[in-house]
Parts: sequence; C-alpha cells; structure tokens
Amino acid sequence: MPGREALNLVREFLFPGRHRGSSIPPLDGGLTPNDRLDELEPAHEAPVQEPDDVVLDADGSLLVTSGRSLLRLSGPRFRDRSVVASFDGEAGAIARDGDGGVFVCVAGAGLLRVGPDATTTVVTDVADDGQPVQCPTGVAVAGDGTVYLTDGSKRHHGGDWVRDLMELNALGRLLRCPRSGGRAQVLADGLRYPSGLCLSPEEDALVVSEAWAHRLVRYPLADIRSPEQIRANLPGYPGRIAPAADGGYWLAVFALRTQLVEFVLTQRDYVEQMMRIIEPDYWIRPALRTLNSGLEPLQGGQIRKLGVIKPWAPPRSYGLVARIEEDGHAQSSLHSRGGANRHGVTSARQFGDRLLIAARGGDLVLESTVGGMR
Amino acid sequence: MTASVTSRRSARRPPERNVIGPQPIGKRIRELRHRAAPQQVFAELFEKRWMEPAIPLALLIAVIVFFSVTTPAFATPENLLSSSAELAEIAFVCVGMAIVMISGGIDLSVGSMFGLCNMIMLLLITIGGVPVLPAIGVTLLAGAILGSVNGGIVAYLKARPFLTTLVTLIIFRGVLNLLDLNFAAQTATVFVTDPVWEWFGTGKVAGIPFSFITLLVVLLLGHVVLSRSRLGWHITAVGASRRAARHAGIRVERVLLVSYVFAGLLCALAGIFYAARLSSASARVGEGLELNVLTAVILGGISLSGGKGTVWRAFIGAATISLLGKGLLLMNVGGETLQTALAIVLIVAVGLDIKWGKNRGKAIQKVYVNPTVVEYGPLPDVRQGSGSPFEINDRLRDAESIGAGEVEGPEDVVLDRQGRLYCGTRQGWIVRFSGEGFRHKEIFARIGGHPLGLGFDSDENLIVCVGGMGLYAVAPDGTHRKLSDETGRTWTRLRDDSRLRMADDLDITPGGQIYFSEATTRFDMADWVLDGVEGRPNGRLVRYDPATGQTRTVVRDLVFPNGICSAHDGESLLIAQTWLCRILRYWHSGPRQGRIEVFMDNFPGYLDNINRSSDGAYWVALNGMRSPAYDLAMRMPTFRRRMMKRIPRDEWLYPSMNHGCVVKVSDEGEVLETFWDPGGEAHATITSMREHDGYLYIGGLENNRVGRIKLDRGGPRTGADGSARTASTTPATVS
Repeated sequence: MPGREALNLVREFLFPGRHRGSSIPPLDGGLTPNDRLDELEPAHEAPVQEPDDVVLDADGSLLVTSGRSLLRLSGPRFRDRSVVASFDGEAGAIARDGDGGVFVCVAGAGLLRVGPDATTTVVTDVADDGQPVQCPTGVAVAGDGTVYLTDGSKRHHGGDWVRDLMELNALGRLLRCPRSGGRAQVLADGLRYPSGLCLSPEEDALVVSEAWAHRLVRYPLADIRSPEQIRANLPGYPGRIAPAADGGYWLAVFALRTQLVEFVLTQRDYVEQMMRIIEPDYWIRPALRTLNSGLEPLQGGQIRKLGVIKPWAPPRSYGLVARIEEDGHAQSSLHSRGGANRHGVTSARQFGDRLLIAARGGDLVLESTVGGMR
Repeated sequence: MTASVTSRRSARRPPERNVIGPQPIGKRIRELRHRAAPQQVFAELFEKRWMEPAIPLALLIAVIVFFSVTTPAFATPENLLSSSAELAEIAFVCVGMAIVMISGGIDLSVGSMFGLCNMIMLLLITIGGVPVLPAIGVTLLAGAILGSVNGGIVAYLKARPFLTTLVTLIIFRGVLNLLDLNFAAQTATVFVTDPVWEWFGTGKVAGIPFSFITLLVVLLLGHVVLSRSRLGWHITAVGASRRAARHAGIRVERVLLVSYVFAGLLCALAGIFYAARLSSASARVGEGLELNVLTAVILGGISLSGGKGTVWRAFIGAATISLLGKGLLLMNVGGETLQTALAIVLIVAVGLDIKWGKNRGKAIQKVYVNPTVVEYGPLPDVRQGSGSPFEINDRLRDAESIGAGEVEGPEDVVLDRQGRLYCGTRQGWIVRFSGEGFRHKEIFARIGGHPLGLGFDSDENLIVCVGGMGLYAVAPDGTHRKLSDETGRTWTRLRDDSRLRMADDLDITPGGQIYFSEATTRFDMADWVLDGVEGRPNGRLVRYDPATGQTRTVVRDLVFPNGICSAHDGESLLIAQTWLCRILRYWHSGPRQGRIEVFMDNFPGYLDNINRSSDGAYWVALNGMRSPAYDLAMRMPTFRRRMMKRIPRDEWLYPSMNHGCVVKVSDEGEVLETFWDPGGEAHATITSMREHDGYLYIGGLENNRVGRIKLDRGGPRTGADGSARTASTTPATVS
C-alpha cells in the first residue's frame, strides 16, 4: 500500500491533474438551483411526521404514508386526518388500485393491499428466487392488473437504506406479481438500490431509478432482459419516479451526492470503522434531514459565516424535485437548498394539474400547480 | 475528567499527544510511524530556493560517479585539472549565454565571438606586437563591441534575438574566415614568451589552473550581480515579463544591451584563455560551440523563456557537458550507441527538470500537510438528558447582541476600566463600543492583520496578537506600535520559523511579562484548518518582556496552543490546546518553574480562549464540538491525507464548528457550568468570552456580533456557591 501511494505520488508529480475520479455533475441546466420548493405553501396545516409518499384519492382526499401508518387527510386545507391502516413496518410507496384499494409498500413485510374497507392483505412477501421481499421501495400497477415493484435490497430495509449505500450493495430486484398476489417473479436482479419505478405512458416499458448507481433505466416490457440507460450520473440519489401528464416524469431526488460522501465510500477502512462505532445519525452520509447538531459531521463550506449558512454549502440533506423528459434530460426543477429545511423529498406525483410533493425531511406535504412550473 | 487525574504527571516538555490508558506495542509503533514525517522533510527541503537545481546537480553527480567507477583514468587529479581548464572556457561562454537567456533573449553568435576574439588576441600579440596586458584589454573591448552589436540590434532595432544572432553568427564567422585567410600563416602556431601570457596559459594557483580560478571569481561576481544588484534584478525582471518591467520603469533597451555586452565580454574572456592555452588560431575555433553551450545552459535548468536561472545553474550545465565529453573520450568509445544512450539521458534529465520546475510548487503543496494520529478519550455525552456536566442547554439563546452586523469576526473581546468594549475584526481593525447599550461604535485602531487575542497591561495599553503580524500594543489614544514579530529560530527545523506567523492569544502575568501563544508556525491564518488536519505540534508559547523588549520561545512543539491565561496562583499559565481538546498548565515561576502538566483533558469540543473568572474559576470557550466522524478521522491520518488531495476544501470534513459553548471550570479542573447556543443561531464558533461586571461577553471568529449575557448573580460569586456547584457535578465527572 505505501508503495502504491509512492507510485501515485510520482505519477501525480509527472502528470499532475490527470487522475480519473468520479465527478459529480454540477446542478446546471434544468437543475439550476432555485428556492421554489421553499416558496410553496404546505398542502395541510399541522405537520405530518415524515411523509413518505402521497397520492390523491378519488374523493379528493390525500393518502399519505407516515411512519408505520397510512393516513387520510381530508377536508378544507386537509385539516382532518384519520389513520386508514397501521402496519408492522415503515410504510413507503403507495399506488392506487382500480377498485378503491391501495397498494402500500411496508418495510420488512412486503407489498400490502389496503382494501376500501380498510382490511389489510399481503399481496406478496417473497419472490420466486426464494428471497423475501423486505424492502419494497416503489410500486406501479399496469392497466392489465399486473403489479410491478422494486425491492431495494435483500439485506436492509426501511431506515437502514444508508447501510446499503455504505456497503455499496447491489442487492436490489425488479419484481412482478399479479394483482391477486402470490410469489413475485424476478425480472431483474443485482440492481443498486432501485428506489422507485413507473410505467411509461404507453405502458410498454418500466422506468426504474437506481439510487446508488445515480441513474434511470428503462426496461421495455416486451424484452425485459435488455434494459437501456436513459440518464446516468445524476447529481443526486434518484428516488420515486412518477409520470407527468404531458410526457416525461417527475423524479424525487431524496438527497444530493457530495464529494465527501463519494470519497468516503471509496475509503473502506474508514467506512467499516464508522459503521461499527458511530451511530448512523452521525455518519458521513446523505440524509433526509439535517439534525443541526454538533455531533453531525461538518464540511468546510457549511460553516456558519457571519450568522449565515451559505446556500451553496455542500448539502447533507437537500430538497429536489426534477421534471425529467422522456430522454432523461431535466427540464425544470424545484429546490430547497442549504440553510432551508424542506429536504429529503421522497415523492412527487402529478394529479391533473396538481403536483403533490412529500418532503420527508421537512415533515410536510407540499402542493404546486404544474402550470406554475413553467 | 478521569484521565487528567491519572495522568497528572509533570514534565519539562509538553506531552505531544493525548495518551489514553496503556498502549499496546502495535499501536505505539503505528503512532511513531506517523509521527515521523519524511514527506514533511521533503516538502520543507524542496521549498528552499537553493534546491531548485536539484535535478541538474543530481545528473552532474551521476556523471561524475559513473565515469569515476567505469573509467579509471577519469578520477585522477591530472585529468580533473586538465578538464577544469577546458571547463572554464566553456563555462565562461555558458554564463554569458545564461545572462542573455535570463534577460529573455538568446545569443547564437557566442561560438563565432569566441573564435573571433581568439583570433583577435593572437593577431594583436603577433602581428600587432601589442604587449600582452593591453592586448587582453583590447580583446575584451572587442568582445564587448561584438556583444553590443547584437544587443543594439535586438534592443533598439527591436529585432528578434534568434534571427539577429543567427545573422551575426554568420557575419562574425565571415570576418574570422577573412582574417584566417589573410593571416593563417602567422597565427597557426604562436610562440610568445611573456610571463603574463604563460600565466594565462598554464599558470596554477595551489595546483588549480588560473582559468578555473578566474571562473570562480566570475561566478561569484555574476551571482552577486544577478541576485543582489539592481542591474541583476532588472535583467531578471525584463526576462520574466518585458511589459511589466517597462511598466515598472525599467529601461528595458539598456538592460537588454547590457546583457548582450556581458555575453560578448565573457566570450572574449573565454577566447583569451583559449588563445593562451593552445596558442593557435584557426577559422574553425568555436564552430558549433553555440549548440553545446545552449545544451549545457538548458541542462542546467535555465529557462528558454527567460526570467529564471542563476550562474550556478549555467556552471552545473557546463560541467555536466564538459565532463561527459571528457569521460566519453577517456572511455574510448567511438560507439555511437553509448552516445545515443547518453543523449537519451540528457533528454530525460531536461524533461524531468522542466517537469520539476513546473510542478515543484504543486509537489510541495501536495506533501506539505502531513496528518498524524490524534487520539481522544471517549466522547463525553453532551446530549440533553445525558446528565453529564457538558449537557446542552440554551443559556446563550437569549444573549443580547452588541454591534450585530457591524463587526466581522470578533475573535476576542475585552473591556477597559471604563467599561468600553473592544474587539478585533477581520478587516484588521479594533472596534470600540461604548455608551448605553454599547450603541456607539468607533474604530479604535487599524493595525492591518486580523487582531486575535486582546489584553490590557497595567498602563492601559491594549496588547494585541495580530494574525500574520505579531504582537502589537495600542496606546489609549489609538496609536499602535509593534512589540515583536520574531522569536528565536528552531535550529533543528529546516524551515525558518523565527517569524511569528499566527500569534493567537495572550495574557500578562502579575510580573508584567506578556505570554502569548503562536498557534502554528507552519500555516497562515487562513489555513488554520490545515493545521487541524495535520494535528502535529507546530505551535509554541512565546514570552515578550516589555522591560527588555526581548522575545523568547518558552515552550515549543505544542499542538495548536490557543488560549493563554495566567492562573490565579500567579505562578502558572493555562494553555488551551485546540486540536487536543485539553488544557495544559505551565509554571513560569515559583518552585515548580518550567514544569508542564495536563490540567484538564477530553473536552467534548475544541478549545479556544481561556480567561479568569471573578470568583477564582476560569472561563473556557469551545469553538466547536467534536463530531464522532471527525474523531475517527483524526485517528486515521492516511484518510485525512487522501481527503485533502481528492476533494476541495469546502467539501472537507471539518471540526464541527457551528456549535460551541462556554464552559466554566474550577481551579481544580472540574466543570462548573456550561452555556450553549444549540444550533449556533447567534453564536456559532465561539472563540472567546470575557467576564466584566457581572456580565459575560462572547466573541466568535466567524460571527457578526458580540454577545452578552447577565451572569445569574450580583457581584462576584462566592466561594460557597462555586463549591456547591462543584459538588453537584463532581460525581458525574470523576467516575
């Protein structure tokens, strides 16, 4: 090891500036930073603890997963709230079923279905390779009743996603099962934390976001074995993805990549020790929210200067919703930057011209009109 | 503070690091390995200007060693002496070429001038019958005139040096050919019996040829002129940037002319020695010399683009070329293979040297910071509900703010007898607040550097540690004067550390001595974090004696000494060490004079200033908290080194400086109380605090205000109250 370092030193000396390193693309073009997420009005009055996903129900109420339960927000300014169902694990992605039921991804339990009468049934909790489905991260229902879902990791689920990142795992799967339930069929394996999926508008392909690979991949349903990458090297970790009304997709980017995290991921000795002796809250990691504690690692640009944390500070947590075109280019985006707190956006879904955004780090569901996005 | 109790051994030297319990041998070895810093030696060595020609010099030594080993006849005194005479001639020409190249030009006509001067010298003493000494003078004059032809055309006609000297090369050679045609018979072999002539040809001083002695003198003169004289600096300036030199008021044309005249003179000198040694003129003398000389000079590392080089480098190049030629001759290798191989060596050497010249600064920068292992004790729990003495509270949240938005970076705050508040700002000012609610702001003094530690002496002079400048005193009328900006140099270090680089905090003992800390001698104020990443003992405690005006280093090799406080006993000082999160106690007088011990250690944050409180305790500022991730990184030096190299500074893992607090500790080293601002909204990076009249004033290096809180008691706190608090916190601390 010292020999290699010395060799690198000599090489650096002879040919400086010629090292290959991962480079995080700057937030540019459609991803140019702004404060639009911070300017939005919250959709509801009292805070919702860590909303993970949100859908608009047929009756105009909101279905929100928060913690271990599925909530229904209704009434004027969504003042009324009721618990539709409670689960044994953290509730995540939701998809509406045609007949008034909802599919809910529950960490540690699998894909569940909550019927119109609030009865909870397990749709699938094991795949046909024998491995349980413990980390469902996204679900999409096709017109023919087939349910597609992503399983982030075979090893970790729920709040432990960051362990999966630190271990650089590629244990995610893309699954399919009939609406009626049963064993899920593995469509693709070895994915790097697939964190969300949606069907293309023609329902001829699936678009899957692979968080640790920072990319969006398109799986044609006709030939699921030959996926094509539609966007690589995103500046953040892509999460749930939902179709936009006029083509393209809404992508919730739940955290930004930082050079420090990318660097630390290459330092395995440090990562191993960090995971062994430090609480996950205080790791060097992307996070859904900043705890504003002195025990959290601080980066140089984050120092409060003259009373202000700079908006360009390297983000431990960040809020970003991007409108992606079908070819993967970002058309526009909403941001919540350093110093603000609407961070950790886990979901953004369009219903009509309403865009619902779950900012998990900010304990808020936000609403925007899509027309205002232009 | 368990560790401080067990490790309360006193010593003459500061314990360099935190020692936590008994250490297994493997860990000791690892620590020792990281304490040694070969890269640091490398960086400091190559930072020296005299290390610039390192690669040419290495090549010269390699050539000498190679031929000494392979060719027995090479390392003999006879050979070396005869070589030195030839070397001297080519070296004169090289120095001339070097001067022209440093001025940004090139002189291709050196070979022709050399040959022509050789011819002129011989013609003068044979056909002209001129005595030797005047002939030498005339030849030198001729050389100067030849040089001035070049210089005149280049400087005043603004012709390109390359073309000009190429043309004069042909012209001078033509003149030489003409002379040779007419006087070949007279100059083919010359016999002159003149003692001066013989002295020039074969004379020796202490066995060394006279020409070589002359060369040494010329080198010395040339060195002094180039590096110490106005003319030399002008030549370098013109070579580095002609336009900038002109803008600076340098007469560029004249400087250029002079540099070509130097080249002509030195060619003439070489010609004279050549004439005296061989006493034979021909049209072929000096043919192709310009290429040899050019190779030598470039090999020596004199930049073709001008502005860079010394006469020594020219000499090194000349010696390499000349010894190489001689060695090859002695080896008797007509073998073209070997010559080709050597040519390749030359190319590699030149390539390396160019790389070296370009990247030296970068290479030094890359290896300058050398992280080492820093260990901490288990992090005290500060979270609310933990019950530890450091538990977070919000007692600073309601601090009154003074001068919010009007000051930038008040590192330290101090109040005078009239209750006026002074603080430094990053603009280099000392700002004074007075009046009701401290609403009246005025700039008390403008010193220049960022004022850090402040303190009043007995005559109401404000003594200031100024970052980057040293120790200053500001009189009550606002005029400032320098007290000290240097201390004794550490002779065991390669770097000259006599200048005060980052005087940080000070205190004045009852005896009137001013003790101040220099946080680091290796980094500038703006690079304080680099010292933290390094974690090495780079700082020192310095004493200034106002009576004698002398500055002395009292304790060296301290890891970032920051706060200094004269203890209540009047015999010792407390030294807060930022990166080690501990406080040392140093006795400057009394029976324990000169001894050092750890007063308190394992704080949950990085210590900054330390001051006495009115009730016999001390105030300590924590400018940041220890985050577990940074603690871990401090144990892993190679991780920090890689981090520094791979990612930009704004992305580095920093000490957690957004959250700080003020801690009150007793004279026995127990934590009495803490004042936190959770979230650091108003007081992030707390670097100082000062108690005055029942209030505590708070300053911060990165802050835009001074804070003030009322201490929850009227006058000075009674001892009973203090000890009661001590008792309540003791069980938690001593466990």
